Amino acid sequence: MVNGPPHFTESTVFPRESGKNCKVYTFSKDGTLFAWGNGEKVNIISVTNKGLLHSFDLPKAVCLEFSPKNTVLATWQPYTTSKDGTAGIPNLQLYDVKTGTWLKSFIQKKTQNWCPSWSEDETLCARNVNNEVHFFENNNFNTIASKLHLQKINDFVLSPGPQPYKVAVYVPGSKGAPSFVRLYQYPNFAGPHAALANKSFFKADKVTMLWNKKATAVLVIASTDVDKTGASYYGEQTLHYIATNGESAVVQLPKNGPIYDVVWNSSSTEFCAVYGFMPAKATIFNLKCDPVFDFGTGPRNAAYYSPHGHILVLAGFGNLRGQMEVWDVKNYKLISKPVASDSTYFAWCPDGEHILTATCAPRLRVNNGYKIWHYTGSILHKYDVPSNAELWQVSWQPFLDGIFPAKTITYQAVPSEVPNEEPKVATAYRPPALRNKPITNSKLHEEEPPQNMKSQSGNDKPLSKTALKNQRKHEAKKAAKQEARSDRSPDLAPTPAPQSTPRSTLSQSISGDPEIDKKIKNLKKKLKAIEQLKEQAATGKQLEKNQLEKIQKETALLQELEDLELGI
Amino acid sequence: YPTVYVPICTYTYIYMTIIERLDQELKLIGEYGLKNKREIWRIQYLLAKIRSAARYLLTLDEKSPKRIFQGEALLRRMVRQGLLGENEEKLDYVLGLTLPKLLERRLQTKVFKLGLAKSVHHARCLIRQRHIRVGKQLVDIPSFLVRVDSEKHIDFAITSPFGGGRPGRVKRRNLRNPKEKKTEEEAENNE
Repeated sequence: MVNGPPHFTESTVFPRESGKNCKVYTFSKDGTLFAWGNGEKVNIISVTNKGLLHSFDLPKAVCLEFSPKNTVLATWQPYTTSKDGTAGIPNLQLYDVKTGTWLKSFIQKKTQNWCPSWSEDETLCARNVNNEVHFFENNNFNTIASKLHLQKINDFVLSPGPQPYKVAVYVPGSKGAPSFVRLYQYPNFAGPHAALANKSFFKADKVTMLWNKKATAVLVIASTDVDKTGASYYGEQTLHYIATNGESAVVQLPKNGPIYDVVWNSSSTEFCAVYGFMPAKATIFNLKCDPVFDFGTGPRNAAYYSPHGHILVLAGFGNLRGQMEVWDVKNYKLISKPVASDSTYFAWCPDGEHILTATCAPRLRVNNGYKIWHYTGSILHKYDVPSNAELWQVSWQPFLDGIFPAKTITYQAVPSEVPNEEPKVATAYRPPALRNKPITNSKLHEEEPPQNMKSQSGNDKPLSKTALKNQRKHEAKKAAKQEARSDRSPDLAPTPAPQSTPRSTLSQSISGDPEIDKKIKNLKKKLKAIEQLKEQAATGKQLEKNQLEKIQKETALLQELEDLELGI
Repeated sequence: YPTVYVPICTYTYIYMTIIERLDQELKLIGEYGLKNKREIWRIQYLLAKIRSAARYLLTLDEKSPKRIFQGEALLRRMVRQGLLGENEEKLDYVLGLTLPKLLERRLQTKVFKLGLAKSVHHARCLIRQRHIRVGKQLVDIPSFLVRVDSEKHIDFAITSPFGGGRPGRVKRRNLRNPKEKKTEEEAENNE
């Protein structure tokens, strides 16, 4: 266990346990409990008071999962039949965490979807068995509270959030019949009009269903194994949107190609999709599936929202080099572009400021290690595993939402001690005949810049006569101002006293933050206007009411200006 | 295009002049699941009218009110139909429109591209058999040219068994006369 930012020291409280069979661990959802399996037993410890709570004798546990309120621990081991052919022991075990007693065990042959899904307050727990979904209430696993029966039901996802709970179920299609995703509200399953919404589609073998946090809509990524048109080796994906009020739509993606990643934002009003043949496009859509903002094309295949939802990271991992783009989603501004080469794992810290990227086995066996970044692009901490050891899994301790407050976004890079190693710039290969010749700029892909950086279409239009006149006037004014300023600086005598304080701060305050610069400029403009009004009042002119109000605001503006400049 | 009313011995020579067009048309029929050449010629005529309108407008003076008014109207119609993109609102782009672009806007191709059907031919069957709706309206015309805002709302009809309605005639019959009939038939087949 390692302490997180800002210390990064190894935690002295939790001793390092080394064992060859330590293969699985998990935190509870609020971070207070930690369970791990070391090949002989499964141990649960409490993180807050550092005491060992329980220990279960499960040598072959491969997966562990806590229930949302830490009442139940579910463990799964591979299903084996005994030698004489009778059915093996049930391999999905449920234990009560508080008392350490065994609750119930089920036979679960498949690893996929092994864990029963709990609702967030644990009143419901659901399991997919054959053609039905069984629901248990209040962790009472001995009686099945209700069942949802659908022929050939393959997958289901419980909605997050409070009651009433909804279930999204997926049934693949047989010959002639399409596959469909249906939304039901618990416990109304029977009857022809029980479904809240229904969407059928043909091109689907596998389906990923993503609920948004408010449980109002599901995004369904339907993927086929084989692409009949032959465009992609990995099959074809389509993105569907189903809302609980019955609306459904296919999300039109402007670029052809596979869909790499889709994420909801934390306020459930928008979702971001990364799609298209490389270089992939990323777009934010609203609930009507209209594009809101387009990030252009780039080397990316994943999107991650920060826990508070105000920062979005577009990253290219896997077969891409690891380029990340950190965006502020409120103002759609790019914050930084760090590069985390060879990363296999990415996670936001629950405080919404730090990012963990790690290179883990068995995906990559070389250069295992992890790096902790600040979202402005600087590496804060780096740990490389010694060369013959492997790193299997890294994760943050989770915390409940709301424990860390959301902070305002800075654009300047946070200072760090770890030097940012510059990745080698890959030069394109030139055959011997073309070396040492002037470089012709030929691009493989059409790069599209993000929406707010696209050049205005009026650039190539010749300016109209009035526009040209205005431009010339503007330039003349600027030139005159420059001259006046250079004339005025040697003789400061005629300037009256109250003007001296703003004048002295006229020197260009160079802060790295363009936002603060803008604000300072605006404040200075307002102060100048007030000075002019004061001069007019001094010469005896009758001022209007709003002009008088402006003068009164001067002290407040001065205070603000000082604060901003001190804050730099 | 020449029509082929000539004595037999010169058929092959006439064929050489039109073989390219025949190939192109056949490719389009295969790709978009069309029924006959007439469906292609119909779209060709539509495209020709659009292009001639754009051509005429381009000969007018740049500032003439007619060109501005009719040009804007034409471009708006093209964008609404989905033939031109947002950043292509100029008359020159209208002259660059092609047959495949128009054929892409048919409901038959849209149903296939949106994953509601397994192939273009399957899409045509589904449309004709009244399974598809656009918005709230059931559409059973495969050559319905879909507008851009309607594209999102192509879905299975509410009364269709694929869209949540009651099962179709065959399935209902099978449910009504279940396995008894089936075992009888099997016994007959075995004999």
